[in-house]
Amino acid sequence: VMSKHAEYSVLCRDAEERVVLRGVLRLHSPAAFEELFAPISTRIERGETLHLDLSEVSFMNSSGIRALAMLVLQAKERGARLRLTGSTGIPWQKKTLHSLSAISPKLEIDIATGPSLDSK
Amino acid sequence: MSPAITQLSVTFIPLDFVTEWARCGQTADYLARFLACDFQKRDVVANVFSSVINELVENATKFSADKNAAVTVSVCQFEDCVSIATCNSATLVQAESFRELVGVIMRGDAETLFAERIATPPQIGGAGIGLIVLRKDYGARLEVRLDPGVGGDPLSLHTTVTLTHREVEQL
Repeated sequence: VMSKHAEYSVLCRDAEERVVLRGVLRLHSPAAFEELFAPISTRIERGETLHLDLSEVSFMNSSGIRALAMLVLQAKERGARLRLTGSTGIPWQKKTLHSLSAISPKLEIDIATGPSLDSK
Repeated sequence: MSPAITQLSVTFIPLDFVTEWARCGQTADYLARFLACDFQKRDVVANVFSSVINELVENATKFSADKNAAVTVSVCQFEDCVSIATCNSATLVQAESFRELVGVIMRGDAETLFAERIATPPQIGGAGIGLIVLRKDYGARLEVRLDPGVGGDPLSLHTTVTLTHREVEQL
């Protein structure tokens, strides 16, 4: 399932663990994120192992952070393995993603060393 | 506080931004670029400022009591810090609960608050998590001031976020 917009995209293919999110995720409400993340939520509900690659998401507003937390909680409840990856090059990822482990100790978070925005 | 080195204010009508939500981010990006131009890591700093300004612009847009009353967002560069302020209309109930929320965030441990509140229903329509993130991730100082409305008019709610250069440059 591909959701594409001028500012962002979500690529979620069945049978592929990796789900790739890209762009500027500043939707207007948690409900709008719920709709965008519905294909991911459906797979978590089935107990699938998923890897959410956020390393190309340059911005995520607080509605998005809350929606991401809801996926983390859903995975915890369903016993589904979930891995989030980000980049040290994007300030919000370096700071915010690690805080999500507080709501699910089994959540895997991998923030890889990435190029600084100033070196691109 | 020393006098401002540079400052810029933008005024908009919240109804316009509710209709075209991307304008919140566009405004944040523009003001962030304006503030970041004197920093060495200009793109990283602009990214941080944009995240912070966007949160305030989104809040002011969503929680304006009168969606046709102008909202002002102002950025100020000082010698060792920047301040980002919004002013929007608010009802007394909204304004008081917002002021209480900011007090809780400033007095509490932001990491603990984040973990407690991220899994619970949003506070006053979702403002809670965004403000907690500003405190937790960017070391922001948050302040709220209320000005009385005239006659039966809504109050003016002033929200100010201060970020030190040192904190921003470490990101």
